[in-house]
Amino acid sequence: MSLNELTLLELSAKLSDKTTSSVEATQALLARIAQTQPPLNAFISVDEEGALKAAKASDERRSRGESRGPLDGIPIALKDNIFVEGQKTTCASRMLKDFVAPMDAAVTTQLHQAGMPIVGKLNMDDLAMGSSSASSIFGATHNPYALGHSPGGSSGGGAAALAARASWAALGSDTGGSIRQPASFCNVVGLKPSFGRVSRRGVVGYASSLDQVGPMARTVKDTALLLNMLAQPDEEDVLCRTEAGGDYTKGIEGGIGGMRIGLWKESLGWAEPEVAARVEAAAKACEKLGAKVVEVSCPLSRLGPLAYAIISSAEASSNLARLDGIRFGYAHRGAKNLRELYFKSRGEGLGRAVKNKLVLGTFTLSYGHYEEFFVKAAKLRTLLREEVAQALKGVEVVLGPVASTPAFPLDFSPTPAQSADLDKHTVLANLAGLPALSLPYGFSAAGLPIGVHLMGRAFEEAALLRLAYALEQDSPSFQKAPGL
Amino acid sequence: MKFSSEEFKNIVQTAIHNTHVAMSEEEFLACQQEMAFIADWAQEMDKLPLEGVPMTVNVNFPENCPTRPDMVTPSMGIENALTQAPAKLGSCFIVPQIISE
Repeated sequence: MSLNELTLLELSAKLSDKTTSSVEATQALLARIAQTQPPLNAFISVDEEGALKAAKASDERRSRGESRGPLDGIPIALKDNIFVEGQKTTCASRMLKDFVAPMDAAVTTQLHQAGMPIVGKLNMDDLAMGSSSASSIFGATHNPYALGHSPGGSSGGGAAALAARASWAALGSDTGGSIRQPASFCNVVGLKPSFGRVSRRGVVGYASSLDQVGPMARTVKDTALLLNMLAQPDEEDVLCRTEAGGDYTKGIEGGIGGMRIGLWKESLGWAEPEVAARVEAAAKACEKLGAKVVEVSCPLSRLGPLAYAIISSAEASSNLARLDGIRFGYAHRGAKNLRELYFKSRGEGLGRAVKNKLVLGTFTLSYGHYEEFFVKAAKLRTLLREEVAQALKGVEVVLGPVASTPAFPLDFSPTPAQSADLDKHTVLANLAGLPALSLPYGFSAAGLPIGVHLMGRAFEEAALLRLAYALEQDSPSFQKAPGL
Repeated sequence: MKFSSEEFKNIVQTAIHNTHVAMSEEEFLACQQEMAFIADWAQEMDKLPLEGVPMTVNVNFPENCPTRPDMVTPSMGIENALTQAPAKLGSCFIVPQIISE
C-alpha cells in the first residue's frame, strides 16, 4: 500500500515507529498532488519548498526524541481563506488574487505548533459563497468520483483532495454547509464544530455569526484527532470558548448502546429517494448497534434557508465592505473619482454570486427594509434555535441527509429556489451554532457518494464522533476510493 | 411587503448603488430575480408569531462569550498596513481626488 493510501492515523503510526519519515510522506503527497491536479484542480497553490522544510524539521525533532505528538510531520492542506503568513490567501476571488496574508490564522499557528507541514492552499468557491466550487477564478474543482460533477462547495478543493488521496487532512470553513456538503459529495468526513469551538481569527470572514472552521479527513478518528488540535481557546477571538475541547479520540470506541438518535422527519422528506434510503439504512444500523431511533420534527426548518439567506447576506455585506479597492486587493486603474473607484473595483473584482449576495444584504439592512427582513429573520432564527433545542432534549444526535441529491453536474445552473434548496439540510446547524458532521454512507446507483448528516448538542462533538465512528466501523465498504 | 415591479426595480437599483458595485444589465436582471425570490419568500415570516421574540445575533452571547480586558495592544503599524495598498505615497493610501479645486 502506498503512503498516500494510509489514513492519517496509520501514517502517524509509521512516523512514530520510524518506518517512514515526514519528508518521504510529504514527497509522496507532492507527487500525488501533481498527478491529480489536472484533472481535479483541487489546489490553488502548492508550497513544495515550505512543506519539505517543515517535514525535515519534524524528522529532526523526532530523531531527537522531541516529537510534538501524533500529528507531527503529517502534511495538511488549507482552504484558501485561511491565512498563512507571507503566502497568498486568494479566497478564489479576483478581488484577493494577489493578497498576501500579513499574519498566521490562529488555526495555522496551531498547525505549526503541532508540527504539521502545510502543503498548499485549496480551491473553493469565490469568497466561500457557493455550493459547487465552480465559481473559483482559478477554475472549477472536479469530483474525483465523476469528473463531470461538482465536488460540492465551498470547501470542494479539500474534499476532492482527500478523496483522491492527495491529502491526509484538510481544514475548511462552513457558513451554511461548506464543509459537510462537499464531504458528502466526495465520500470523506467533514465536521463543522459548534460555533465558538474553534478560533476564526485570521480566516477571511463571510458571515460572522455563522462561520466556523473545521476539519476534513478520510476517517472519523482522523477527524477527531484534528479537532483535538483545533479546539483550543483564543483570547483574540472573543467568540471562542475559553477552555480547550479535550481529547475527542477518548471514548470514541465506546459504542452507541443506549444512545437516543432522532431521525429528522422534514429533512428526510426533502431528499431524493436514493439519498433517503441511505439515511434510513443508517437509522437501521444505529438500532442494530444498540441505539434507540425516534422520529423528531422541526417544522420551521423549511424556513431555515430563508433566515440563512437574509442573515448571511447582511453579514457578508458588512464584512466585505472592506474590499474597496483602496487598502488592499483588486483596484480598478484610472478611476476619475472615488465613487468610480469603488464601483468599478468591486464590480470587476467580485464575482456575480458574491455581488448578488452583497446587494441582498445591503437591501435587508437598509432603512425601511431592516425591520421587515433582517429583524424578522433574526427572530425566526430564535424560533429555529428553540425548535431544534426542543428536539435535542430527547435525543443526543439528529440524523438526516446532508443534501437532497448526490453530487450534481458541474454545469448545473440553479434557479434562486434551487440555490436555497442546496443548503436546506445543513443551515440549521449554523443558525443554531450546533456541531454537525457528514459521514460517508454509501453510493448512488450511478456510483456517486452519499453522506449522512449528524447534528448534536452545542459543544458535544464527542457524541457525534462516537456515533459516526460506530457507523463507520459497521460499514467499511463505504470507504471505497475513487478510481483515479 | 408587496412591491410593484417598478418599485422593486428601483429598490434593487438603490441597493446596488448602496453596495458600491458596478453591474452589467444582465447581472442586474439576475440580481433582481434573486432578490424578488427572497422578497416573496420573506412574506412567509409575516405568518409567524414573531411579536416579542428576541433576535438572535450571536448564538453564544452572552453565556459563552466572555469579554477581554479593554487594553491597547500593538497593531500592525502603518508600514504593514500599506504593504498591499493598490496605490500609496509615503504613509498614505492614494485615493482619487474627492474635493474639487
